[in-house]
Amino acid sequence: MNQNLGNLEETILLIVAVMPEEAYGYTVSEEYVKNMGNRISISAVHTVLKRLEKKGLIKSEMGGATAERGGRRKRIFKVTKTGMNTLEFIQNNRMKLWNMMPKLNFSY
Amino acid sequence: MDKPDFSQNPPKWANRFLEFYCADELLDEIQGDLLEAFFHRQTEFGRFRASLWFVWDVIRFFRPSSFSKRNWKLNANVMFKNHLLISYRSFLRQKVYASINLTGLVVGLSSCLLIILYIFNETGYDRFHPEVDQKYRVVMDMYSQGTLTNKSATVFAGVGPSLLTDYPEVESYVTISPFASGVFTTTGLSTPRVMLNQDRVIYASRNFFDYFGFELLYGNKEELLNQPFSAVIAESVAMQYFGRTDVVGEILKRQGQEEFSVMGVMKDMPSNSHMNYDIVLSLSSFDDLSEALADWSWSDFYSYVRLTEGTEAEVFNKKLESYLDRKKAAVFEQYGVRQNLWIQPVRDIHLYSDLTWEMQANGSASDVYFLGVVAALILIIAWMNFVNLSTARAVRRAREVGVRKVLGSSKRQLRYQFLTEAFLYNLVAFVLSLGLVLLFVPIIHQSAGIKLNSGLLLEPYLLMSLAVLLVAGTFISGLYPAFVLSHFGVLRAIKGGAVSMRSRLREVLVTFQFVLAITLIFGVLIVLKQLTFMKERPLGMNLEQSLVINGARVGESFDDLVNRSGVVINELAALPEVTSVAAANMIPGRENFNLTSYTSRFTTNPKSSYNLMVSASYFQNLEIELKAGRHFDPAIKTDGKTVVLNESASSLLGFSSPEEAIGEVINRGKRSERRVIGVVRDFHHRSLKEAINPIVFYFDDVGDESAYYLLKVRANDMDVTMAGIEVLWEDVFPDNPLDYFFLDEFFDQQYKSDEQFNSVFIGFAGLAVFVACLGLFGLVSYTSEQNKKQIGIRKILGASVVRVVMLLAKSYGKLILISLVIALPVGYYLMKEWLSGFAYRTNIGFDTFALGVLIISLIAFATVIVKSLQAAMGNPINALREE
Repeated sequence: MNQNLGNLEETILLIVAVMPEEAYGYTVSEEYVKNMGNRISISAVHTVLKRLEKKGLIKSEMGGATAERGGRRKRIFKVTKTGMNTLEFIQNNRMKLWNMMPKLNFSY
Repeated sequence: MDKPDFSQNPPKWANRFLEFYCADELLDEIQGDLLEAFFHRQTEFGRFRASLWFVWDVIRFFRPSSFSKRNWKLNANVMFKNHLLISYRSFLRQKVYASINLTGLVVGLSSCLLIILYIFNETGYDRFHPEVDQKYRVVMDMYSQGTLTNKSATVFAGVGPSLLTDYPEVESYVTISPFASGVFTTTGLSTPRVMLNQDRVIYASRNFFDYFGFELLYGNKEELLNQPFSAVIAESVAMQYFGRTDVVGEILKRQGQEEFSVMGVMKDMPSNSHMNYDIVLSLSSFDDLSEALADWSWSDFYSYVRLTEGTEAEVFNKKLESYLDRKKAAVFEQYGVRQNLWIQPVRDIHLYSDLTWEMQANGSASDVYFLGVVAALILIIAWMNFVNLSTARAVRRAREVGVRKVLGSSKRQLRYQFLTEAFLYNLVAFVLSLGLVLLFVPIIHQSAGIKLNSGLLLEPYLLMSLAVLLVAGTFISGLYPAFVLSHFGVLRAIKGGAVSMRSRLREVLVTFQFVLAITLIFGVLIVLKQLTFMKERPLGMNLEQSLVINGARVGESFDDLVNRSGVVINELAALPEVTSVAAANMIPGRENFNLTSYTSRFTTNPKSSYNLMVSASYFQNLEIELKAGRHFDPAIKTDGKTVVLNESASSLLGFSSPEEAIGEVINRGKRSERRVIGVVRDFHHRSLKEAINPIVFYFDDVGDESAYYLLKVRANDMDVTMAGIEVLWEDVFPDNPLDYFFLDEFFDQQYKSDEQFNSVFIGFAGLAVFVACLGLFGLVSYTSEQNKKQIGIRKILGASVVRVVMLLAKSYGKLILISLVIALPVGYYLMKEWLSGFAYRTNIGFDTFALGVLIISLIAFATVIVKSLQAAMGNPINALREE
């Protein structure tokens, strides 16, 4: 569980994990805009996805082609077991810290 | 691969570019995603923004991770070998086109390299001085009544020392006086006596060798110029006098009187320096130094300063602007003049400084840029040739492409193949050009007198830029053909011949090439015309058969010198071969430093005019026409108090006509009044590049100031004449060397740099035209070969040779006509600009246009017709027999 995940990597990994439909470059970048509020270029998404795959957190397979893609096939990504574990690990650690947060604090 | 037909597509070129660089296995995801994004975005944001976005994404993906990897490593090696082999074979198969292609590239590249060397040479002046970025020359603008009258390279002797005390930014200064020339002799004690005129001599203040980076061979740097009458001499001068270089401690006598002890020997000043002197004397040996330092009107000194690090020249110039107002307020007030000091970087003197009284003729930045543009043009023309010929050849390669595609070659592999081929051509051309350049550098040095340093080619930064040029050349010349060639459809390619021959791009390229070539030819014609114009325009005097002898400078005493000069002048005049002898302190073609202000009855504002001391026979000797009044007359005692003006001076001083000036008085300062006794016609004392200056002539028949004797000699055997003069001279002036030269040749030396520039320009323009024609030749040969069958059929059906030639020549003739229409106005405008740099310029007449058009038409049509004639004359059987 000693994967070092960057902020963007973690976000993209989460997006791939939660996406209901097929996750590939274009859809991931659209999902990112929808949820995070700012734009990310498709090339940046590709880079991150490739890195995540190399770390074994996601896996990919070639999907079908559509007309709007100019007949090109999609590379569809799915989160692996390790990926899921990593996400949970991060989340647990976070929760631990959150739980330590004093409940009532008037100093804000 | 088939794309559904969407009515709205992203920019095709961007998509193609993506397909070009992207690895095959990544193309699906990358291109797919981008297309999908484009598809969605265009409904949301509109087509335009979506397209921009698409292009941006394509650029963002242009990175190593997107490039194909496996291809490079495994297959690529094998394929690369194959590409090399095929390139070689196709070279052999189409020798003519290949050599035309290669010749064009080689010529283009070599000219480009040569010009690059020249540019490096010109821009590399004065880089060898230590901390040169902090070093500046102080120069001066002179105004009279608010108008700029002179930009002077020389300033007052006091400028250096007083700037040093007044401004903390000034760290040190060097003062140089250029008036130190004379006859230098050895004492004759240890070695045989050597006596030589030395013109390139200066006085310089003691830190001269700290300030400038001139290399010292012998002597102690600390005490070189500290003492009065010390000298540092150049290696070559030491060899002339002593036959060796280690001569510290030797004595050189100037004018037979002052003894200078040699404190150091320097390497000859390098040619890439804005100054070139042989002997440097200590400034403290200058007789009138203390007087000069106090005199803020004696501006005969070069002044250099070193500023503290980080001082901005602009800021310092602001401070200098009013500096002389404080020093010379009274003078400025009285005469309505102003002088304004400013500084220029030492580094920029050679290329950018064009002031009066420069140390030597400087280079011209515009010439350098001009040649740079020519170099770029030649290279562009050569690359265009490559594009043209390669695409024209495409039909031949079409079958090869088709077969490769059938065998499974991808477009990208085909592109690699053709890029490899282009790279090979460029590489070979580069190697050949480098060899040619090395071969040509010494030849150019000999024929045009331009020294280039071919060693520069090995400098890392130049090698880097050459590598960049090579890669750029490969892509510029190879990319388009690679795309065209790899794009043929399989069936059409294999069937052959069906590929369309007309190409808009090719026509545009040919037109563009010829626009450049015609502009250059036009430029050459104007440049030649201007030079002939300058050399042939009547100068207003006659320099033919004029022999100039450097006046004697050494005598027992001043009176002795004057007496003996008189004797020599009389005896020279008595020689049967000599028709007339005159004396003057300055000769035509040499820069005059003697400038003073005058007033007259009509102008109370002082006007600047040059002064010239001449003997009575000067005007007759040079055949300068008298406009009014009379010449100087030695019989009239009072003529020592009179002057003769040239027309410019006469009108400058307010006289409405030459006649009106006669008998008038002009003032040089308050006390010195001179009466005008004559006005002579304007003549060109300097080259035609400069306007005629006003000149006031003073009478100096005694020969006080006779720096030059002007002899008119008969046009018979010069050897006899010279022998007579030598005997006579040896008799009267054994203590002075005899130096002589012909005045017309000397005068024409002013055009030496122009001639040099012209020959270079003409050479390269010729090459550009040659390369352009080479391309045209290749294209025409190709078209005619392509249409061989058509021509054959036409001939069988009764077409005449002329008709067939016309058919072939027509399309290219049209292009050349279009180029003419574009090029002539462009050339006219450019050359008009160029000519405006000359004071006396020729007109760009209709004849030049006509000649230019004639030349280019002849060359181009000859190229077209020779080739098409060959095609048209051929026996149709040969054309039709195949298949």
